Amino acid sequence: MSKSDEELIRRIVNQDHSAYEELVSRYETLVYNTCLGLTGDAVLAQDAAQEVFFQLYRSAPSFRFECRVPTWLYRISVNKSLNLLRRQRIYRLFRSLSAVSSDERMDDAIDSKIGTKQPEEAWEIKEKQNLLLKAIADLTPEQRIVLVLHKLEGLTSQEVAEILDTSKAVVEGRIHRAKRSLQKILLSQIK
Amino acid sequence: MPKKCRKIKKHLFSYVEGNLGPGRRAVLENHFQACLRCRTQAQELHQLWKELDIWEKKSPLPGLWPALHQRVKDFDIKGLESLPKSVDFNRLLRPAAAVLLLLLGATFGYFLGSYPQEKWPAAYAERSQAAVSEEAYIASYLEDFWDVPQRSLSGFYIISQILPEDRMP
Ligand SMILES: [Zn+2]
Repeated sequence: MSKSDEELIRRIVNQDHSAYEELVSRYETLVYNTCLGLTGDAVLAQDAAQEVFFQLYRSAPSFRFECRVPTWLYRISVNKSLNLLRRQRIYRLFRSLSAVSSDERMDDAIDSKIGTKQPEEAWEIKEKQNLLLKAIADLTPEQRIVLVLHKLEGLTSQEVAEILDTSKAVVEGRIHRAKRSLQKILLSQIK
Repeated sequence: MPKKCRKIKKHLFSYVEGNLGPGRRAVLENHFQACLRCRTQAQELHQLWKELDIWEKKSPLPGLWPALHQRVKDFDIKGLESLPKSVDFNRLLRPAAAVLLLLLGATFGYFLGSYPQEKWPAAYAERSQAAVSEEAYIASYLEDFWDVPQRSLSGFYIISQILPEDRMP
């Protein structure tokens, strides 16, 4: 029988690496996809995911079990992704971006998932997802966060509100504005 | 873009999301019959929006766990080693360096300000006397001024080369 998140956290506090591995494998998809939606870059998302789980390990002793583990992970994912993105933007002012463009990185991430589909269908999905991720990356951070959590992660506005520690009404307003902005961006792209 | 198409575009999102009343919906669909451009846009937007609803989750790139595990193992060891240390020198060193630089700058400025005019470099003294018009006077000083930003830029460049990558902001 699989152990509860809470039990795994208690074992992680005692430096139990197998419990840690179990928790990582349980939530790596959730964390990675949240980071991918927020950063719009496969490699940045991977870095952010690593930061999230490392933070979980370091902060496990101070976790008070006042919220569910996934809620906690979503919160850290949002913080780490935005931090990384901010640092990346400043960093780019100093140096030009590495040889691999973010387009190629995105292709890598999407390829890993749709390798089993027919080539044409796979290519179409890849194109659409690329377009969507790029458009999402153009949203303001506030709108991006609610859209990723609500649309891509499929959370209810109440759940998003809990993660962001705000009211459901505020989240719903942001989702509405985010959808409008996203549609505008998409329309300008598919001319 | 024709005026009619611009009007249609305003309602395209509500149409795609299925939030239009039957009357308006019919107006849009009538227009699509006649206008290939709007029809294509509506179709593409609809497909993209649908993709967002059935968003496929991706797996992380390989190597997440091995890298994490190594980091955590290092952290366990370091965490034990750093227990007796109570002061983070890095945190103290930076403000101290900033204060020192500020003091140095102020001292230097004070020294420059109180430097007697008769001891100014001969070139400067000559130039201020020889400058005929105000424009020529300003131009001669601008020559020196333009040199400064270039030097500051090379300073930034040198710092960016010296700082290790993980220290870059
Ligand atoms: Zn039209």
